[in-house]
Amino acid sequence: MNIKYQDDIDKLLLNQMSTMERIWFNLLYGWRSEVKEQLSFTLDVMRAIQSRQQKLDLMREWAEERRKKDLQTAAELASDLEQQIQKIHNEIESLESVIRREEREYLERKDSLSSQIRDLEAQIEVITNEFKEQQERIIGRIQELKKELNRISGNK
Amino acid sequence: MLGKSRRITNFAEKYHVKSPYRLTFLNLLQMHTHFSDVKYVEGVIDHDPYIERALYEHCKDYFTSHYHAVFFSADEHQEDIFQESFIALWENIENRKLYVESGVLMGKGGKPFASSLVTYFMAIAINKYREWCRGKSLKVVPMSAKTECRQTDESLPLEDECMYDIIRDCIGSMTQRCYQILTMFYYQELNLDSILIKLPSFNSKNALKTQKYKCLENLKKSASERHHKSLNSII
Repeated sequence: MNIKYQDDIDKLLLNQMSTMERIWFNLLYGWRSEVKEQLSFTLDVMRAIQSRQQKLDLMREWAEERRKKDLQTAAELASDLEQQIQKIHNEIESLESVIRREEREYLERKDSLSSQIRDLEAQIEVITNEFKEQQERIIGRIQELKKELNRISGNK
Repeated sequence: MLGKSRRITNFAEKYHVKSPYRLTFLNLLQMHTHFSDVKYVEGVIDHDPYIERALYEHCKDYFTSHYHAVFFSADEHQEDIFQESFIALWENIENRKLYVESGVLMGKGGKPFASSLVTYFMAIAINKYREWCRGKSLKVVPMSAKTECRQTDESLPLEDECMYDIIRDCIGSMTQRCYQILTMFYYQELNLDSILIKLPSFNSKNALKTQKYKCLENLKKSASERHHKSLNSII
């Protein structure tokens, strides 16, 4: 490698030489193996860099599209999740409303039953009192009858 | 440049996709269509952009799902290893290291290819990883016993590599700064004055020119060393 040839080699490879300059280049260096070798090496480097960089550019583009697609998928998933969460929230709200209604009905029913129980207890008390009075009257009558019987038996 | 709908129709005709107008171009790319290894190789040789992209997706999916099982390396290196390995696979196909003959995938020495394309790709990745570990002076960790890369002996030896292949590999491991300069000069075809504006750390055009030459010289040195090593390994 020699730095003094590099400028001309680069110009040649990058098509920056006029026809005259090309002819001069060939006349001056065409027969020198060291220049030919340097030219061949630089050409390989140029081809390799161009090929690599074209691929890298494409791969960056693809990677970016992949990243966008992944983001889109993630956004769709997030949206799906949000919808599912909203659906669950709605279900919870609906269940809570059902529970509240049933609780209210239960309390109303409980109140109604308690009131009925109280009425029945009052009726039982009345009946029990009446029964006791009746019982006392019957016992009194039985005692009267017993006394009457004893009196009749004594007279005999 | 073909129009969007025309490209979709072309794709549909070529790969027998029904109702092409129901699909968008992006949908087609996202289909993650899998082809046979033969189809991938033929497509890449023909520079078919759909097949190139499909092969990328195929390898990327496989690499991502097997990365932690094969490489004991942090996630931050995953993209670099994949990138270098995929470029190597792509160039190996383009340079006919793999080719198709009578519908059969052929490898080194004109023998039928013994492994699958992703296995071959993973073998390249493991080699790139080892090179990368050596470059970083890290301990090379053996791959998992489960990996299938044992079969790919046809794939990756240094022997009979041509100078272009060696240069190509050496470019992958050159310094970032050198790669930047050479890419600007030989790929973007910027002149030294324009590069100087983009890389203000160089205080003169001459300094930049000398650096560019040194990069080439170092590249030549590494390539020659590697070439000698490969010749010695044959002897």
